[in-house]
Amino acid sequence: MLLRIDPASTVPLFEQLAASVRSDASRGTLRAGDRLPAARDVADSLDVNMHTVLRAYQLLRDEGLVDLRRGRGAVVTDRVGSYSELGEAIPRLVATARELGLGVSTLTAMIRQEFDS
Amino acid sequence: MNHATHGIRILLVALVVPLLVTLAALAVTFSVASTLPSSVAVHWNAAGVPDGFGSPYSFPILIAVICLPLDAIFGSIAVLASHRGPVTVMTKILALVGLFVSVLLAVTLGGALIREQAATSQVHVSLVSLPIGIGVAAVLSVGAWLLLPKAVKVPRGDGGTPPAPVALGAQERASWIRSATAPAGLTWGVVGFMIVIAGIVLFSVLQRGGGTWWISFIPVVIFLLVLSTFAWTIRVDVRGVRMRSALGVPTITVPIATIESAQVIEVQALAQYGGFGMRWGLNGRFGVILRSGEALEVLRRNGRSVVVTVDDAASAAALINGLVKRETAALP
Repeated sequence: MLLRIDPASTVPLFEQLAASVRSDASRGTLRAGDRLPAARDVADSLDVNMHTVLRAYQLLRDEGLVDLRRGRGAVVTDRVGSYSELGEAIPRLVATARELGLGVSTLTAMIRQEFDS
Repeated sequence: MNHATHGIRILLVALVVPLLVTLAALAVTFSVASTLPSSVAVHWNAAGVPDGFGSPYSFPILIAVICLPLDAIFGSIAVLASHRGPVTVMTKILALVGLFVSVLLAVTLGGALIREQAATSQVHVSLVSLPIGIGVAAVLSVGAWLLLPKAVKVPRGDGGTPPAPVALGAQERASWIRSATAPAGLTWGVVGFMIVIAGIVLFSVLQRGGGTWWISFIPVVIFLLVLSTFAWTIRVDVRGVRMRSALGVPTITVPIATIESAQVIEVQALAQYGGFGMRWGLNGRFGVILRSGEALEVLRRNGRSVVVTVDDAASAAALINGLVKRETAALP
């Protein structure tokens, strides 16, 4: 699982970590039943606090992408299939927007409108 | 020479001939043993002087116990490997194990037993057939090597696809972590083998009074160490590549500064590494080989490479290449 964080970014580190996991889920490299790496390993590898990693995992649990079980760690749930569907839909969406000459702000505005309706 | 005759030659050299040699040796030693007194020299010290005596039937039993499983196991691995991939030096070595050992034991033990029969005026004779056995086995193995198909060379980095490096910002931190475990069937096979061996040791110890029953734990410990090399956590970050086994020992680290590049390769576990676990492959490769198929190959600056069979190896290789690129760009 590829995790990337940029300490210079204004986005909180735990949000960046959760986004990395989501991106792996949408790329299809994570399968239901896969275990996320141990929080301690991630913290050591990225030189961040372990609580930051745990907070990211809790965020993903609240989303339903992982189950947190004592002794088993963070296990990817069946919902990962829908994430990869989303991962396939987004490039298509962007490609269509490019064809129409629409910028990212227009596209996000359209998405927001769809969300709010 | 087409591929079909390759298969037949490997089958003959790896499996058929060693088994025939073993069966012939069994027939000869068994018939000789039936003509001998009930006690003959069965063990010789380093100077070749007999220091152990026993039944002449221990000769055919020893040949059967060592050669039959060895011929069957190494022969099948070589035949399987040649079916699944190119014939490599590793396949050829595997194919010759059974032949070498069978001929060595047939000549050495058979020779010792026949001399025993010829020298009935003396009580026991020394083991002079060992050097002859080694010589005959070596000559036949060299002949068989030439009979086997020419080995295909698989040079380092061959057939790999190096993925484009991940573009990393100067401050960005990135880590790729994934576990790599052997298929359950392989693991349970080893566990089963461990139980059988420990059972045999325990049984034979109990037969002799059972005072040293604890030595049956020795195979258990050895197999547990082997099993710990069947589950690994692979980690790629700014420090390099770290491969940590289930017990934490062994852990293999490859610092980023020693890495030239990384790529994805297809591994044939048997043909290229002769089996599973921590393996030395051909042409300067060292590998953690848990299955055949997709693997990460880390090419080091010293001309060697480290291979690990892990899923999503492309992401790992892309990150390594990104880290190496950033590292070298930062150098003056």
